[in-house]
Formats: sequence, structure tokens, C-alpha cells
Amino acid sequence: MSDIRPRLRAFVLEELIYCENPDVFSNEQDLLEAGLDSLGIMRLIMFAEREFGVTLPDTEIEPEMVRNFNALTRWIESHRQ
Amino acid sequence: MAETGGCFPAVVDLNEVDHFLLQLDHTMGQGPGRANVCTFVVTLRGHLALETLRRRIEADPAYRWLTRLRLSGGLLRRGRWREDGRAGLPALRVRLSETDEGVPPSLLATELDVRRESPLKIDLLHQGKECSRLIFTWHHALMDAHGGEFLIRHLGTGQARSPFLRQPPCPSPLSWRQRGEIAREMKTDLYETAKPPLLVLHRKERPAGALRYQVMRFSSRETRMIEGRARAHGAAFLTSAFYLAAAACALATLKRRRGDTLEDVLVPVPQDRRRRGAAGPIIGNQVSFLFYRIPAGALGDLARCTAEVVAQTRAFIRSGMTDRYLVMMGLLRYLPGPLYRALLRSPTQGEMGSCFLSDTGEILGGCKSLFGHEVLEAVHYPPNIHPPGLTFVFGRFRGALQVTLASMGGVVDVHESECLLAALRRNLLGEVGDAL
Repeated sequence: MSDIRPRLRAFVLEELIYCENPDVFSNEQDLLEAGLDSLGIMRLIMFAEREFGVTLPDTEIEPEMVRNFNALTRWIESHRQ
Repeated sequence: MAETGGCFPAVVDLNEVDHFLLQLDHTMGQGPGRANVCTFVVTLRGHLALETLRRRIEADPAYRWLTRLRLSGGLLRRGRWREDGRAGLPALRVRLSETDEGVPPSLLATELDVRRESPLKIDLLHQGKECSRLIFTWHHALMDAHGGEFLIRHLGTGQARSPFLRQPPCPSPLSWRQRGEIAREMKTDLYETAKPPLLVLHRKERPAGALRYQVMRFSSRETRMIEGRARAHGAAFLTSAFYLAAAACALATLKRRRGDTLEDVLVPVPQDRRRRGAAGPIIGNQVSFLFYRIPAGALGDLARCTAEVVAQTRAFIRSGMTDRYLVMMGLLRYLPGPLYRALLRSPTQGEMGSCFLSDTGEILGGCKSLFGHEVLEAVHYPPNIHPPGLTFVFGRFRGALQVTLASMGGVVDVHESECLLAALRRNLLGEVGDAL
């Protein structure tokens, strides 16, 4: 379970959002405010489904679920067997 | 790592997408209308003096370098931008207008001979004492809409930090054989997705006619309503999927009005590949394309159409279409120009698509003033290849949606283009929307 957050961080901060100093980007910091857009969210969900073997239902896709790394991790964990 | 200002190479190779846009330019230059040129108009409050503008931009090393680039090759051999150290800076043109009649069509029709002239030109339009308009025109093989915005933001805000200038090419981690296999698969997918018949509005027997631009604006309240409708129609946070569905249904409405049979709608949609929040790179197109095919049967039902676009978006991301497309384009650029251009048109048998559409996102986001003047308005005027002769650009300025429609008079006349925009507005807002 503990591997989810660092892998999410690596993907988002290397592929989706530019951050001058990724190490200081906290797990509570707002990803939407940092520039994560709709297609980025879609790529993030596809990444999570592929990497963690989960299915994240469309009906649950709300801004609160992808707001920050902690929220994202909780959402993915709730669907992990 | 991107290069920054202060490090200006004498030669810059066109990347695979620049090359694609240069080949489109060649096709457009042989046809009616304008070549592959982008225009971005920024309206400022008050009177911006020409001398102030000149002083600010001509002192900027990035501007001086960029405007001295000239294109070489690109048709039979590899295209490159080469710095011409002897070239003078382009003249800044200023025009006066007593009335606020919008942007004169002549300023939206500027052509660029990039083998002999600067690939970027700036016009200044003074309209009364109330406002000044800056008209930036650049060649699409040089930079995309976001690159243009980054450059303008850099020039207009005088930010001390140099902009990222370009992303130097990095060698592909894939072998030639792997790339060849990916390109072959991508080509098969593309031929399957783009095969005719397609819904098109142009008619072969009619000449393309003159290029026309119309801008439709929505209030912030209406924009929030549209976002709400996007969610209600199943787009969740993918508002741009809802825009595409609304545009496709509007095309179908016009087609039905003509009494024609509906066919599938094909729309190539560019996707910006920059990481969000990054200030660059400026030159070199940083986009890939997604090719949406919406079945004719879905065009009468906005929710079904939206669901189709969302499902295809998911499938494209799963299959890595944006990366695969770039691999294919990277290999194709080694072909001679005539063969390349024939291949470009081949999947659709020359139609290219039902229309082109892009969503530029927030325009000049967070930028309140340029050259010391408040920014009142900013609009992208895209190039418009014929066929199909129709291009939609969606964007939000300070949270309010706006749509630019570029069309050819021979594809849709004035009445039809107004009907098209009215249908789009109705689809986006529902029947409760404010009158056009």
C-alpha cells in the first residue's frame, strides 16, 4: 500500500505538472491549483488503473478525489483488494 | 532540459510536428486563403505608444534572435530555422482607427514569407483613446498557440527571468525497428479511423471563398452553466469532450438543414504536451493529435455524443496515441515533401476531417497587464486549412468561455455560419441560454 503515494508523485511531477522543486511539493498541496487539467486527470486515472490494478469508477471522479496526493492515495487504496 | 534566453543557437531543426505544419503550409499556400499562420490579438486599455513598444521588445535578446530566423529546406530536405545575423528587425506597423470597429480583416490576413522575412510580426492598432490592440502574427511551423502566449507574456511583462526557448531534440530510446512497428500500427489505426465517407460541409463544385472569423463569447455565469451541463452529460471534468460533442452536433444540425445525409464526424484535436505550470518551451510545436470519429448515429443526441468522445479519449490515453502519433510523424519526416503531403491526405482521401478543433484552456492565465497596460481581451485567430475549411478554437479568458470560428465563405455562407454558432451555443447552454 505504501508504494502508491511515491509512484503517484513521480508520475505527476515528472509527466503532468512542472514544479521547480518537486521535493517541497507537499502531499496536501492542491494539484488542480498547480495546473493539473482535465486531460492530465484522465492520464493520471489511467496510470493508477494500470499501475495499481484497480478500476476507478467514473461515478466517483470528483475534484475532491484528485485534489492532492493524500486524497488520491486514499481513493486508490479504497479500490485495492 | 530546455534552453533559455541568452543561449541562442544559429540553427534550429524543425521537430516532427513543425515539419507536419510546414507541409500543411505548403498545401495551404497552393490553395485558397491564408497559409499556416497564427494570429493572436490582445486588447489593452488606453494608448500604448509605438515608441514604448519598440523600446521594450527590440531590447529583448529573445525577440531579436527569433525575428532573425529564416526557414531553409523543409520541402525536399530537412527543414531548419537559421539565424540571419545581417537581417534587420521587422518593422512594427501602427494603424489608427477612430472607431472601435474590431480588428480590421486586413490585419487578420497578414502573410509571412518565412524564407525571406521574420516568422513573427507585430502590428499595433490604436482605436480612439480608449484602447490599443496588439496583433501578433507568427508562422505555425515556428510555434504553437501556447508558445506564442509564453513569448508575448515574456515580452510584455519584462520578467527578468529568461523564457525557456526551445526543447532540444532528445534521441528516441526506441530502436528503428521498434519505431517502424509503432508507425505501422499507428498508420493502420489512422486509416481505419479516418476512412470516408465523412461529414463535410464544403462542396467540391464550389470555390473555397474568403476566410472569415467570428468570435462568440459567454459570460462567466454562462461558462459555469456549460461546465455544469458537461458534467450532466457525462463528461465529468473533461469539459473539452463536451465542447467537441457540442460542435459535432452543431455540424450535423447544419447538414440536416441542407437536407443532406449525415455521415460520421472526424475531428483531429491537438493536445499540448507541455507539463502544466511550466513557462515554456516557446519555439517548436509541443503538440500531438487525437483523431476522434463520432458515429453519425450519435449526432442527434448530445449525451450520447459526449459519451462517445469521453470513451474515445480514455481509449486514446490507454493506447498511448499521442506518443505513437509522434513516432509515426518522426519517421515520416524523412520522406520527400510531395510524398509526405500525399500521405497526409491519403487516409481521408483529401478531406482531412469534418473540422479542426482545439481547446487552448485559460488564455494568458493570470496575466493582468502587458507593456504596463491592463489586458482587456485576448483572442486566438487560428489558421484554417481547406478542406475542411472550418476550425473551432475554444478558450477561456478570465474564466469566461469564448469560441473563435474560422470558416471559408464557400464552405458556409454568412447565414450558415451564424446558424452554426447558434446551434453550438444552444448545445453548450441548452435552451435556457441567453439569446445570440
